[in-house]
Amino acid sequence: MASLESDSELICASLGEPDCFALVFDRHFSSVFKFVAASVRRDHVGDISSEVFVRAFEQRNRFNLAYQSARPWLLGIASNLIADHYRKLAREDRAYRRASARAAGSRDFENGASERVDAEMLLPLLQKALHALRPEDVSIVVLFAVDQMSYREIAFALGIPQGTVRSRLSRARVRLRNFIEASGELRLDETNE
Amino acid sequence: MNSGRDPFDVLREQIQTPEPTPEDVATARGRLQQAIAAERRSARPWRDWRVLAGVTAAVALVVAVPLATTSRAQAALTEIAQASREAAPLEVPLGSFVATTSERSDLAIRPGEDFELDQEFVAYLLPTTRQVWRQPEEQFVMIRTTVGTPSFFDPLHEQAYYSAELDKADRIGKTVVDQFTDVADPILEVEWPRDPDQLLSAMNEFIGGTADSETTPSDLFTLAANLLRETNPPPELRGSILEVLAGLPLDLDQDGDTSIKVSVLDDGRRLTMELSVHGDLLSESTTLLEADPTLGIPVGTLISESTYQMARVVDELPIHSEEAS
Repeated sequence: MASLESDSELICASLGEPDCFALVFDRHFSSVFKFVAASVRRDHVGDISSEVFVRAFEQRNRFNLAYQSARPWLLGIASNLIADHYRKLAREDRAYRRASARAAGSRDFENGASERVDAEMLLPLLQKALHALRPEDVSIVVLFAVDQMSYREIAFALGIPQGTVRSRLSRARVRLRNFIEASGELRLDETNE
Repeated sequence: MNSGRDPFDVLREQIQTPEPTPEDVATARGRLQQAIAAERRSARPWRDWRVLAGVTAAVALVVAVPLATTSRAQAALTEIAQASREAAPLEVPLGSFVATTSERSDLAIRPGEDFELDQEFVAYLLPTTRQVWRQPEEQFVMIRTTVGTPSFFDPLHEQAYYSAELDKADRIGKTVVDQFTDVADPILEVEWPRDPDQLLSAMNEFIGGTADSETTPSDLFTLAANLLRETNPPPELRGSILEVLAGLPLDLDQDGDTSIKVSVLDDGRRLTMELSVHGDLLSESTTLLEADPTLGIPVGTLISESTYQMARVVDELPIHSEEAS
């Protein structure tokens, strides 16, 4: 087992000997964790990151062994889970709004809502900016800007054409710029030096 | 437009990406170990070939005939799903169009009075050649349709059709061009999951409105065909669509070297889909399994048939100014 070099060899070996997959975890957990942490609130990061590896293990027979590194594949799974997470938040938000309409004046409800708002306010500006993007664009932006992956790697990780990666990044760049400038907390024509 | 710093550079510098704590690593590793242990537990009995042989024989005795063709369809679709995942995605650069061409023949039904005939309805088959250019980012679609010569189930209907000049109403022999922008296609609005189980759940939800609604295999078959036809799915999604199909009680009608045909029954009709070995939708058809005396359609009639050419990417639209409607 120790002589296995690439992720694809490890994943192939894990089909017969599942424990081999633990080495894939050792190699990539930190990277996946940081990717997830860039996209969602801290209290959800652990759950989503660990779920990535459970899903990857269960779906490892679908890994394209032509690729040496499992990182883009793992980040693709993470990306899907993050999008699911955002959809869940959106559903909860809609449920809160419906409940708000039904239970106007309910003290418990108001407290819950204000906690949610407070939590959002505590987010750093740029994470709030990420939240302003479309759910499907968040992962692309983080993969490109934070993980510095190429268009090709992002396209592979997310299973979308490179042209789509380019156009979504272009759309996200405009949204990010508008959000950051509208916030007034940061000017994009300043430098850090 | 501000000519200052790229917001992505700002993001890279300022976003917080904490390292996992030892507790984070231990928790995640524990969950993975549980999954590994669960697989070991579930796999162990099957490693004993005697148990496997015994169970297989018992299952075969009970359900040999009904499952025979279904399992062949499942095997063929699973194999194609795997191949489709390894296929290169169709890349659509910004500003380009996905162009598709299909030959179709669909059932057309008109009131009998249109034909000046004393019957409630008259049915006939209307062939069309349909070319579609779709620009996904701009939600732009251009459709060029050329209508061919219809065929009839009764010579009297054919005679009445031309006497009543219905060929002009149907624009027989003409080409019509339509352009649409901001097309809101509900199928394209959904971010379809790449995981087969999640995809099945999303498809059920899309058809039935809720995750718990009852959907029929033919409902799922039809939606799968729509997804393959309309969404230019990336390899992973295409593979999952095929896996969903593999889970349905389908018949394998043809198992060739370059394509397969699978079908499902739907309320007196048989819906058939032909797929390439890479999971591309090559053709679809609907066959009537019972005669329709009201419309005069005999049993076994192919009431709808479409064949598709492979999608391609083009940089520009063709010029059709004289044809555009």
